[in-house]
Amino acid sequence: MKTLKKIGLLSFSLPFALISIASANGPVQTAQPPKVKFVDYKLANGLRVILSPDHSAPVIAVSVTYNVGSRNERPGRTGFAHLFEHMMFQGSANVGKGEHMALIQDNGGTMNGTTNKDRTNYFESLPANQLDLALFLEADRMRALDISQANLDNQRAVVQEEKRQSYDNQPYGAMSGTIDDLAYDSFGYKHTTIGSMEDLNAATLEDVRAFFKIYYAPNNATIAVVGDFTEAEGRKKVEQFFGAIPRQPDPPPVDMTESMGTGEKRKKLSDPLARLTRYEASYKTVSGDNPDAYALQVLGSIMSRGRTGRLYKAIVEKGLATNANAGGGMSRGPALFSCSATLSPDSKLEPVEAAFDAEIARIQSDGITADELAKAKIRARAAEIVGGGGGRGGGGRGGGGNQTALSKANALSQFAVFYNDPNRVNNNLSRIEAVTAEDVQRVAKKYLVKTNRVVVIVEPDGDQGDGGLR
Amino acid sequence: MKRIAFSFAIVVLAGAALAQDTPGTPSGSTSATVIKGKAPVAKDLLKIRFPKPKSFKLKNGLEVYVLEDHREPAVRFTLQMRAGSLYESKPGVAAATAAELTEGTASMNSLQIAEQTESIGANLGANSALDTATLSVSGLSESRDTLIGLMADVLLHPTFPTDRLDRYRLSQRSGQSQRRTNPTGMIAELSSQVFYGGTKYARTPPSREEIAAIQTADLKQFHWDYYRPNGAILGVTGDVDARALKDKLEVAFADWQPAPTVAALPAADFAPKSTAHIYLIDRPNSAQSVLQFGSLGIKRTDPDYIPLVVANRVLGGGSSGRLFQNIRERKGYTYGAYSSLTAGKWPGIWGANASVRTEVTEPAVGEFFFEFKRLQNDAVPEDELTLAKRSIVGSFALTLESPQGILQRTLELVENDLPLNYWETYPGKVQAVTPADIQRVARKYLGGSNVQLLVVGERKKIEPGLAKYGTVEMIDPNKIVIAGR
Repeated sequence: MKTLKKIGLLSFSLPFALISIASANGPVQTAQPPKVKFVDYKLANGLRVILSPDHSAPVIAVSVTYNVGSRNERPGRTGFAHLFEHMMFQGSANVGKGEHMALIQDNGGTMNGTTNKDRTNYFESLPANQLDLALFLEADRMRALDISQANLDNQRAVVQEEKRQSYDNQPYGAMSGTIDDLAYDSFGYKHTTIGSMEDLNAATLEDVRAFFKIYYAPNNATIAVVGDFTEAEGRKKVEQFFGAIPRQPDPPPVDMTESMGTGEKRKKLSDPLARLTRYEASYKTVSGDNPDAYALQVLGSIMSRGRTGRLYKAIVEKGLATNANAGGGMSRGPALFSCSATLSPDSKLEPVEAAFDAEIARIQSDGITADELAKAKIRARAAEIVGGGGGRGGGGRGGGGNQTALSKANALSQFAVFYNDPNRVNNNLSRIEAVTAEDVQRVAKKYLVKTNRVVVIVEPDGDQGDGGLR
Repeated sequence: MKRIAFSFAIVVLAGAALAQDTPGTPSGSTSATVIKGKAPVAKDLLKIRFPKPKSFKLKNGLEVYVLEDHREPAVRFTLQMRAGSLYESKPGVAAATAAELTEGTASMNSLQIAEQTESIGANLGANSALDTATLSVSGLSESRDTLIGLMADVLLHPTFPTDRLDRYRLSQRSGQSQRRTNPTGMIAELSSQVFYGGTKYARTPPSREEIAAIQTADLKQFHWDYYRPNGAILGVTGDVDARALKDKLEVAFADWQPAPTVAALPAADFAPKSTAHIYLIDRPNSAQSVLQFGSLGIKRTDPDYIPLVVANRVLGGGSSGRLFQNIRERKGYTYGAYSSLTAGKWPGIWGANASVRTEVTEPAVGEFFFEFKRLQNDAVPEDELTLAKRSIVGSFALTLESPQGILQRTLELVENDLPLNYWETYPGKVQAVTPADIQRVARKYLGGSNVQLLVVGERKKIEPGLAKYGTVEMIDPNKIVIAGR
């Protein structure tokens, strides 16, 4: 093993790197996560390349993010982007079906592919002497995917089992899809990434070919390589494996037009697999590109994080629900800020909803305290460096957000595709630091209004006992 | 318990008695993988040496292992004490003691502990397992001293206030109810009953009455008896200096006194089942059947451990394993089919699992038994075995990215009384496993009546198919209990 690189507090020169705050220890200097250094350039065929040599462990990670997700799907083909992701493991010109997975695992690596509304990514982490292998595998399937009806039928069945396992056979499995359908105007975010059984059944080999041609082109992808290699080596090898893959016409733009809601929408579902009622109110907000997204993150943290969070005091402490959460995701298009709770066995819905609404109203009228804001910021910093959400009950295990080569590679390539800004891996925290108490109150007033929300409630259905404890 | 291979559940096997016929299964390889052999692979395996944690013992007997890692300004403490449910005399007391440890001390109430923790962005929590209770504290290294102070305070001066215990009782009710909506949670509970039922090693969740009976005095007594430094291990990773830390810990834990004796594990001489059973939990409206096969396995120190690690890898370790290749990549019955191996201070379980759509439950069970039999009857081809070993040894490089992962490898040795040079000799031992070794352990653990099958699914649709493989025993989903046999 190579020597671990020591990074001291004073090695940072960014303006926000040294900040004094008042804490239980009195004013202290606050450390920032180590900066991720990288180079960012494009090959002639349009492939964006991000290289981040880091010699702290004998490991390399490769992450290829394609600028295509379920938001690019058309009606009648929901679930296709994800089904296609499975086809990327079924072989290419020089790699047999399943050989990709076998080669990574048999050489001590890990790999996967994932699809969401905004992107599809493929990644692997390997011992450092297998950089050529990782690049070859990613390049071969970007250049010449090998598709067959038999493999499509097999993977269609596998994806349908994934849907059953992750959604249809889980309590509350229909909830998120229902929320998206009610909340969004445009098709892109209105439907689920897993798709419908009917649409999965309708997918053809021709669809696979066309999708590959349109979206799996070098000019529609970003590759990030992180770990134990040199920049010169990285530049040479990426060119060697990917340089000859031809560029394609740019894919068609996605219609992501969304407007604020103009009236509350409510829906009740009954779920034979659930045993407790669940409540979720979702407010439409903004893209991760908008600074308000960071104020909304701070708002979510103040409402729901930890034993001292507002919702714990107002809902969980009173026994109204077993948990109560608030917060929003970061997406390319407008995200949803959700307030959710799973009710206690004997409690009723009305007081839970009233408590959420009262806490929101209080922030809208009175704002937040300086202490709340300081806690939210230190929690964000600790979460990025230490991992865990802060507070009691956190296990304190698991790494910070950027610890492994693979997590850095995934973040770099994703931020490049989402916001044209891979450097977000380094400046996320400064965006949180920039949020003021006024910002938090303002975004609560602007977005957390009833006309801009959908409320979905899932109630248990059927007599299946209570788990033996009532 | 050390867990190998992909995630969840348990065990394995397939006995000749249980699986006489395996409908529709091909003979020979069932792998769907096509190897073109054109990708550039570096032949050499990187030679990996784990950095050795520094270790010392405090005056009160607490063993401390420190892996310094100054890459990030974070520090993590994990204190494991011999204070799990194996040692409780009243059901639920060990778990309640751990959960309530952070709910009040002589100098701070619950809210003040939370305020202090959250104001420095720290994580603080405790939980209990069978053998151990674990107190975990982590945060930014700038708050190192505060973290140590918090850890010592909740550990040495807990008050277990009654109002917080009332809340705990309420949360236990809904928590249990929630767990039993999740089919894999139900399977985990059932498998604990099937293999360890009737002993302390079966994790039987306390009943409503038992939870109601837990009192503050019980927690105080359990804490006094078992939260002791002797027999405990503190693991520390991150931005700390081991020498300076030792001095700080001596001061912080000065009042923590050792117990006269260290708690001994209850007898763990479980007998394998004399007959194969199929246990079924009816879950109406299930979209899938959750299948869990399992066989009572071995302790971590058993000489069969390394052959079993390799056999498990061949059978169902990851997406190149036989189960995944056959049941997912050829048949399309499932999103994933894996096997797993647990082995610790008492016999663990060799298991295999998949969630399959209801309609193919019967043939999917047949494929599992087919793969179990194949592992017993046919020598693993040399090239397949070579790759399985390579994947086990090769994966060590990735562990080096995680200081907690490295420390965990050391603590695994300490906990199981294995020599501290174990990992240096491990690759050689893995390489020495032969096809005959694999067949031998496959027969020993997957043969005869060893394999039990646990299923959560819709009874009316799957019971007739399951009955072709053995007698189906129904289990009440609201009372998952199997007496010892």
